[in-house]
Amino acid sequence: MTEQHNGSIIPIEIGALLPETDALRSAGWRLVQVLCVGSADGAELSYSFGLDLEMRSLRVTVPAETPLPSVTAIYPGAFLYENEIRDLFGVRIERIAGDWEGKVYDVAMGKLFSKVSIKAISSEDPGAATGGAASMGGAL
Amino acid sequence: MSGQDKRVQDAAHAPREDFVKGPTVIPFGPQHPVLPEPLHFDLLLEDEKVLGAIPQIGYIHRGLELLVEKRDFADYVHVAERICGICSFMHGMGYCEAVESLLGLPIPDRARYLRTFWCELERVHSHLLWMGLAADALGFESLFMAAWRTRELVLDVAEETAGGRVIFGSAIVGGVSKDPSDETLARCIKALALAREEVKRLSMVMLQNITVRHRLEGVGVLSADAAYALGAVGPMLRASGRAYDARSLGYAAYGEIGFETVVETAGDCMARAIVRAREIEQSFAIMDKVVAAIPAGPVSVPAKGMPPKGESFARLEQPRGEVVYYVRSNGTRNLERFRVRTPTFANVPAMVEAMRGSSLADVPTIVLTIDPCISCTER
Amino acid sequence: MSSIERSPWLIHYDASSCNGCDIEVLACLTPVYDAERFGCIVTGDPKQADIFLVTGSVNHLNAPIVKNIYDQMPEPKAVVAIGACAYSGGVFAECYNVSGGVASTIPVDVYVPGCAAKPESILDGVVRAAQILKEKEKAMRATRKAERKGRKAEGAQR
Ligand code: SF4
Repeated sequence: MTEQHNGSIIPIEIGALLPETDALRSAGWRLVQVLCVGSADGAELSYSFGLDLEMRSLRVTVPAETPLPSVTAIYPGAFLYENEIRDLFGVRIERIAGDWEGKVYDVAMGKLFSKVSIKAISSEDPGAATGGAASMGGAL
Repeated sequence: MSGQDKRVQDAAHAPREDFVKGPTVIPFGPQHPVLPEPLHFDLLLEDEKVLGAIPQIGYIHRGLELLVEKRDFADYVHVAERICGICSFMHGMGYCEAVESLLGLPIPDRARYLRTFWCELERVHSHLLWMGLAADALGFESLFMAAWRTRELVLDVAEETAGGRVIFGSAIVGGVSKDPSDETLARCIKALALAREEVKRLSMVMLQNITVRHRLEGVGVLSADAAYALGAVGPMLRASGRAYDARSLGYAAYGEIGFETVVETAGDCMARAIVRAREIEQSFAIMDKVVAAIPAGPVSVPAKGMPPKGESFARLEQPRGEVVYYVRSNGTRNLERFRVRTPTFANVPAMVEAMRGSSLADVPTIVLTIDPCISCTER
Repeated sequence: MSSIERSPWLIHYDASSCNGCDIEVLACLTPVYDAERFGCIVTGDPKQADIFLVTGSVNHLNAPIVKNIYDQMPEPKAVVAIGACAYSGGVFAECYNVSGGVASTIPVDVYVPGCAAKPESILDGVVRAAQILKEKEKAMRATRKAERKGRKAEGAQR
């Protein structure tokens, strides 16, 4: 039973993410979730897909400061996951269709889930959550 | 660059024209009469027509996923239960299932059956709660009161068997913490039979009332393809004609007990209401079967030792849809990462899609038939 | 007999609760527990409310909203903090986005214990808040009377 719940986890390169995702979408898989785990030198993202009861996850390891393409062009529903991951983990996900510009949770302190040391991310900080309940800009 | 790559990139850069025309923006929430929870939308309107909705969340974000680093893995169940007070048992149990699969710990049969019983009890109470709130939003006060009165019968059973009304507190790693006797269960089944009759009557009132039907039919239509592509789950997906119910995975005792996936095809608010009404009926039947077949024996096994290094997923079907838990351990008593992808989180894109093109007056109805749970979404 | 004690109007706001306490507040208003027999009614408008029921803990995003609702309520008013979360943050006290109980933002008159609080104890909290309202009203009357007297005395002196 555990097997069925876990599905298969396939490690892939960042460059292969969009083609692989696109292939899954064409084969009729649905996006189940995007999961992020922070690590000392970046983050590890798992994109899980489901087809009936089967689950398959693509896993990419993203070093800190490395841009990651958004999958929202293939699965538009992914925007919430990607915004959340960018805000809480500081992963540089680029070109999200439906960019909330760091206002998902609007937490006071920003990037709490990130395990990358503060110095490594301080240089460029587009998605920092700085408070203020402004409504989200950008298109959905 | 391959052709496929290019297509993907072009789509990512496609302009979104909807938002440059300068529509009227109406803020909806956070304190509003539709739901007890704070939920905020910026509704973009052209006259009465909703062009789009931008959700804003974060009012009840607590950050409880990070708390897992500070708590013992066996104690964290208490926090997991409080992800949401409506599906509390299932949250606690989902966390336990994930940890148990990490530990490789099979739980006793009686515990599996009791978990199934409580899951279904929770589904009934959640759907009745939904029915009441939906009736309230439609201005059908008497149905609201009647649904909540019936719900109390269900909560009495919860209190008698699990010890709590909304936070059951009975899921633990390795099984369950309460063991209601067979007599208690038989008595509960009798009480539930009463509730079942009542619910049948209420669903009939809800689904056949001409005003309700006017308000729900053809409103907030979500096509099967859109629902699937946007990752919708639960009644939202099933009302659009896709039969996916995570209970088919056969966790707890669903494998033995069996059930039928409820599907409707219209994809409108009415279809979602019908799906829930039929699910309540089925939940009662499942509880009957569980109590008839429940084996004797212990209800828990001790969870000894540290969780080994590794990771594990668990998937369950909550009243609002499929939920996915993830745990990762680094070999200490504190897990390294816990994550829950809750059904409403997955339903938000589809909810926004269902609202697009509807009229302003229908927004509360659409929001309600999706039955969002904000405290799940934000955790 | 104070009318405010006999028919307090309630307003409910969910700060960052887990829903458990919210649905129990709602359960209080429906047939089995029926808070309306004490003359209560729930309103969505803070300007008409006398008793403020808050569930859940406060964070930096919803603190202004809680404060706003409180400020809009007319005097006399009472605040009932429901559940462990509203008292101290409860199980979530250590979370990063929780800044503490409701008392960190507005003054609280009655605490209802429990996680989740039981409808019976919520009812008890509401009834106590109604008594507190009555006392507050009495005190308000007394100060107003004293003020009036003072003004009169001033006038006579002149
Ligand atoms: S006190 Fe307990 S039940 Fe109430 S909101 Fe807090 S966690 Fe939920």
